[in-house]
This record gives sequence, structure tokens and C-alpha cells, in this order.
Amino acid sequence: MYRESMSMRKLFAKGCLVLAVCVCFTGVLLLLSAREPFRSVIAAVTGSEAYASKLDASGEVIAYIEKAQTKDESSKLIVGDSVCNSLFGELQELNPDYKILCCNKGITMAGQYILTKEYLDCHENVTDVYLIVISNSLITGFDTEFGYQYAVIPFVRTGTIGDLEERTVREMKSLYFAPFLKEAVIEYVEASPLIKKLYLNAEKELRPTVLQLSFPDVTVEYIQKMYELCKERNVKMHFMAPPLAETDERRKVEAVLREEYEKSPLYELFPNYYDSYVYYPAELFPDGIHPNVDRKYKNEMIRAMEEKMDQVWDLRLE
Amino acid sequence: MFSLSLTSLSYIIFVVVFVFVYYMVHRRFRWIVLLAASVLFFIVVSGAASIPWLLLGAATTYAGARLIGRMKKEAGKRAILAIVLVLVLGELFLLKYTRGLPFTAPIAVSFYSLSILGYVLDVYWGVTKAEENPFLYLLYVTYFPQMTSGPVTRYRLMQPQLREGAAFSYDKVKNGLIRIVYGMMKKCVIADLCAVMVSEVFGDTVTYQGAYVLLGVMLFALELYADFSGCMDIVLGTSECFGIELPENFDIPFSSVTMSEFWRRWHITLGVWFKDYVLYPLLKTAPFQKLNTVCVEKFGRKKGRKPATYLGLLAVWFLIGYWHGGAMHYVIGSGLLHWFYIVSGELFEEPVKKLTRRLHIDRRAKGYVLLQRLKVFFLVCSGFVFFRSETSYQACKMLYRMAVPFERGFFTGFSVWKLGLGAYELCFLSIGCAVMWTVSGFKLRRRDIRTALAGQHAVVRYAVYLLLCALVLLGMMRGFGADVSYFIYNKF
Repeated sequence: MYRESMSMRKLFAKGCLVLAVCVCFTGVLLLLSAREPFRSVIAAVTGSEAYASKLDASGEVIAYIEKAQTKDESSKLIVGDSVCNSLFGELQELNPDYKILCCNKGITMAGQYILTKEYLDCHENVTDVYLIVISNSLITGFDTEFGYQYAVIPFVRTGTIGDLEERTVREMKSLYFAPFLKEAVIEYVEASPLIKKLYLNAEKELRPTVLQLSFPDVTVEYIQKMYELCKERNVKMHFMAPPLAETDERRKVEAVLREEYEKSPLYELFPNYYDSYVYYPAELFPDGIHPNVDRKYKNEMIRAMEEKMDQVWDLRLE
Repeated sequence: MFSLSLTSLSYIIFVVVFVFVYYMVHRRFRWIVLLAASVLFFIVVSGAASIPWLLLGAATTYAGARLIGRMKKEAGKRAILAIVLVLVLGELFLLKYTRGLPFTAPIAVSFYSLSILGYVLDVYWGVTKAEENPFLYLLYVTYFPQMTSGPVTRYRLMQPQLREGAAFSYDKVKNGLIRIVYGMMKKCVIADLCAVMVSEVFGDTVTYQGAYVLLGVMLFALELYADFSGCMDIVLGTSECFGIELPENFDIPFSSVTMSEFWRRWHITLGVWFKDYVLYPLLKTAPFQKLNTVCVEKFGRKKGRKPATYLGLLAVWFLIGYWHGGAMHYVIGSGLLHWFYIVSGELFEEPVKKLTRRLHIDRRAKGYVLLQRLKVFFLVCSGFVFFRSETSYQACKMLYRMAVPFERGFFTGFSVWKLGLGAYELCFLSIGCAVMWTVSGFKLRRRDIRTALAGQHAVVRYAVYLLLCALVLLGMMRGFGADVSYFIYNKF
């Protein structure tokens, strides 16, 4: 018995030693993974090269926030999701009166609020703000799929996280772990494809994103805040939907969400949101979400939106 | 959220925790710890919903064996045996070969079904006694290390080890842990990297033709070996930590010089099970005995016994192929094709011997042995084409594409060696292969590398351990987030 316990101790001690060395090895590896020339070698061996290109996600949002902060002669703002971008994105050059800032739904409504606030803070004589999103974006809150790259990193890096409510920041901290909201850590995550891969996948595994057919608090709260902000600055806010694909599944989902919407405080502010829906043949939407048609057809879609909302835009379409 | 895949960190923690608890309790109660670990493992990996199926198989065979043990009349024993066989095989058939079931089949159903069938047959033949303790029997059925991909075990070898529990042995636990890490290295480094290249070739049959397909098939052989034997190393290493010896499933199969030898070295426990429980009983049946008598009278004692054996082997190889999944490409690639190779090998053995003698070729010369090994390797690869393909038609197409003349650029262009991998990844793969080949080299000389290592200076020893750990850590990081944690044989 004594011999058994001695050899158990020996095994335990040696096991701890090997474990400690493995931990050190992992630590050194993670440190080196953010520095060239090791960065690319480690990224290649650990299959994390693709995560180096994912740096663009936060860069894309940062560019939008900086654009919103850039002073110019525009007096109208269009914010929205990627479907909005596919319709309006190309029209920026033709319309200097408008600032068109539509990006991935991962930015959440908190991000749309930041864009609006930054724009209004940096521009005078603003008359209209258009929020154009499909319901998929409305049901997207902070998640482990897109949230860290499209929301956390850009908000922290541009300092606009300060525009958000304290409880929203708390929610982000609890979902993404507080240290990962610190700028120094974010810089490391951005510099190391390996850390980014491990962190994002661990997040996804620990807290898988479950999409629910309801509006998260962040959606309701920040659309309300956008409305109040616009009202305070004497700006008219419009809330509408871009075109949708005509499918049974889409119709069913929208029927459920419409009921949810009518019960939410948003209905009082924007009772016509669901009336702005215009459905088009599903074959025009190869991925079921984004219309893949030529410019002329897209312009027709925009005009149909105008008609549906009884809205007259001075957008130049061609 | 909680995964217990054999290559996950959580699995290592699971094993370490239960090894600790196992040796902490009194030896008499150690099997209870193992039972708790096995049930927990089963629930996490397979889901609680599949427990009734597992219990059904276990209860049927337990009760059946007990009844057989008690009965004195042969007819009664036979009737019970028939009922048990129908129930267990029916359950296996339902869970494995029926599509669109509204429930999930338990993991490793094909493996544990063979083990429990073997147990009942052993009781029927009087080789072993029926187990009285239902919980000890349940432990045999659910013993967690073998609950993924076997090996197929025998109750008479497992029962004393499970019941008595092992005394703590520093060497056993240490060696078990080393083997687990080595198995993980095989899976995370070699199998997963080869899988990238194999998928590239098998996924794009338009671009890749001729020698590329051949290379892809050879890489698949390497992938399958590293995957399955890596899984077995983890399983056997885990069991070794608990002081329980499981039968080996691989014995450097690619060193075989004949196809029969290959199948004595590859998936050993499956082959032995089919030999003991299907082939030999089949050869003892009246029709086979009659065929034997007729052939012996006609062709003499030596040659006359072969037709019945070959016919029996045909049935066995058909069943082995069918066991893999029921589809025709499995029946051909993992069954009938190998039967054909084995029978042809035996039929041509004498003429080839005569020819080599006439040509003064030394059959033990290194060059000749190497040629034989290459022959076996390529024959096995041809079977693996069916195994890897989705259908027999696709497999035939791949074999046809192999026959397309080699492209000029195959040997001159460096890109061929990459096939979806970068230079650094290839270096990583090469290090993994070098480690595997070194270990195989030791095995070939019938030496245990762990014993050899134990005699080395501590610096050398720890350098090797750390190299292994580093390879595994890098491999695990590589696989993290991608769906690579599943083993090919997990689906059987």
C-alpha cells in the first residue's frame, strides 16, 4: 500500500511537470503566433490562415464608423444591413446629399445606433435618417457567430462603445468574457490568426448561437434610442424593409415576427414597418436573402419601396 | 457543449479524473467506478435516448446466457440461443441498416453486438460460464474505452480483469498515457492532414486523374491506418491506465507479405471473431461437411479440403463487408474483393514458389520481401477505393481514372505533393509520419518503444514525450473548430 501510494505520488509529480511544460509551450506558441516570422508559419501549421483574412470584418465596420464621423455636405443618412447595401451601396457616388452606411447584420441595432449617433454628432442640418433592414437583422442580437468581429472589436477600437448603455456593455462582457473587450487583448487577437481561431471557436462551442423568432432587447432598446435621438435633433426617422424573397418559409417566419412586432414597443413608433414589405420571386435571391439582379431592376425595387411607404426620395438612381 | 471525442481535451480530463477515482477506492469496488464512468460516457457521447437499445441488447444476452446455463436439455438451449440471436441481430439490423429511423442508434452498436453475441455463443458451447452479476455484465457491454470503435472483446478474457480490478502500477498508467498521446498524434496530425489531400482528390475527379488518383488512394490508406489505429491506441492506452488489457487490433499490417497475413494484422479482433463464431461453426455444418467429404474423395486430403474452406470464407467475407454498412461498395471493398485476393494468393502460392525456385530467387531476400509488401499494399489500396467511395460506380470510376496515363507534370510540378496542403503543413505531416514509422520499426523488431525509452537518459525521454505532446497540441489546435474529431470507424 505504501509503495502504491509512493508511485502514485511519483506519477502525479511527473504528470504535473509534463503538464506545466505543455502549458508553457502553449503560452509561448500563442505569444509567437502574433509576431512575424512565426505568425504565418504557426497559422499555416494550425490551419488558422483563414482567420487572418477575417480581420476584414472589423475593418469593414470601423471604416463605416469613420465614414459616419467624417464631416461633409450630406444631410440624410441611410443605415441598414447587407440587403440594404446590395440595393443602395452603389448609389453613394451619385448622391452626395446622402450618407449610405449599410453593413453586416452582426453589427446589431446597437451598431446602427452608434452609426446614427456619430453621424448626427458630426453633421449639422440633417433632415432624415433611414433605417432599412430585414427581419433577420432585427432578430440578431450579440451572438458568438458574428458579434465579436462586427460589433465588439470595432466599437472598442473606435471608442464608440462609450455610446452604448452600461447594461449593454455588461451584456457584451458576459458573453465575450471581459478581458476580450480590452483594447490590448483585442490587438493581440487581431494580430494572431491562431488566437482568433481558438477564441472564436471556443466561444461558438461554449455558447452556440440559437436563432429565435423574437426581437432581442438590444434591437428594441436601440431602435427606440435612435428614434429618441432623431426626435431630439429634429430629424425625421424612417424605418422600412428592403425587398424579400417570396417563399413559404419566409412568409411563415414573417407572420410570426409580425405578431411579435405588434406586441413590442416598436409598433407604436413605427406601425408601418411590416407594411413596407415587398415580395419578389425567390429565384431573384440565390441565397434566399440578397437580390442578385441588375441595377435597373434594383432601382425598380427601390421605387416600389418608395411607393409602399408613400415616401418620396430625392435619391438619384442613375 | 460537452464533447467527449477521443481527441478532445475533455476526454483526457475525463480519463485522468476516473483513473484517479478508480485507484482511490478499494480494489473490490473498482469495477463500480468503471461502470459509472462507462454509463456517463455513453450518455454524453450517444445520448440518453439510446440507452434503452443498449439495455435491450445487454438484458437479452444476459438473460439468454443465464437460461442457457441453467438448462440441461440441448433442444431448450438451442431454442433460447436462436431467440437471442434473432433479437440481437434484429436489433443490430434495425439500428444499423434501416434508414430514416425516428430515433438515434447507440454508438458502437456493431462492435458491442458482436461482443455480446460472442458471449452467448461461448456460454452455449460451454467455453465460459454465464455471468450472475447483471451490473458486472453491463460493465462488460458498456466498458467505455471500447465504446467507440471496438476492439471486439471476449467475455472470458475481460470478466476477471473487470471484476478483480487492477492494482496501481506506475508503469501501466504512464505507458497508457503515452499511448493515448501517441494515438492522438496519429489522428490529429497524420490522419487529419492526409484527409485534406484525400478529399481534394476524391472530391475533384475531373482535375485529378492518373497518378494523382493513385497518390490519393495511397494517402487514404495512410489516413485510414492512422485514423483507426490511432483510435485503437487511445482506446488501449485508456484501458491500460485502468490496468485492463484489451486485445490488440493492429500489428503493423503494411509489413505483410500476403493478403492473408494482412488480415491477421489489420482489425485483428474482427477477423478472429468472424473466424471463431462464423467460419468454424459454418464448416462444421452438415452441408459443408458433405462438400468436404466429396472433395476429399475426389482431389485428395490436402486439396480436397480447400473448396469448403473457400466457400466458408466467401460467406465470412460477405458478412464482414456487409457489417461495414450494408452498401454494395462495402460488401465489395471490405469483403468480396479481399476474399478474391486471399483465395487467389493461396491458389497461386505453390506455382509462385516453384517459379521463384527455378529462377533462383531468394524469397527471404530484402528486395523480394519489399516487392511482396508493395504488392499487398496496392491490393489493399484497391479495396480501399471502394471503402472511401460513395458508391461502387464511383469506385470503379476512380480505378478507371487511375489507369489514365500519367501526366508529364506529375513528377516535375511540385504542386502535386501539396494537394491542398502548404509546405509547412507537409513538414508537420512528415514529422508525424517519421514518429509513426519509428514506432512501427520498433514493433517490427518485436520491441516496445516505451520500454526502450524507459532505458534512455531522462533528457532524451522527456524530449520525446514533449515532441509528442507538441505535435498533439498543434494538431488539436488545427482541428479545433473543424469537424475532424470523428473517427472513420465511429460510424460502424
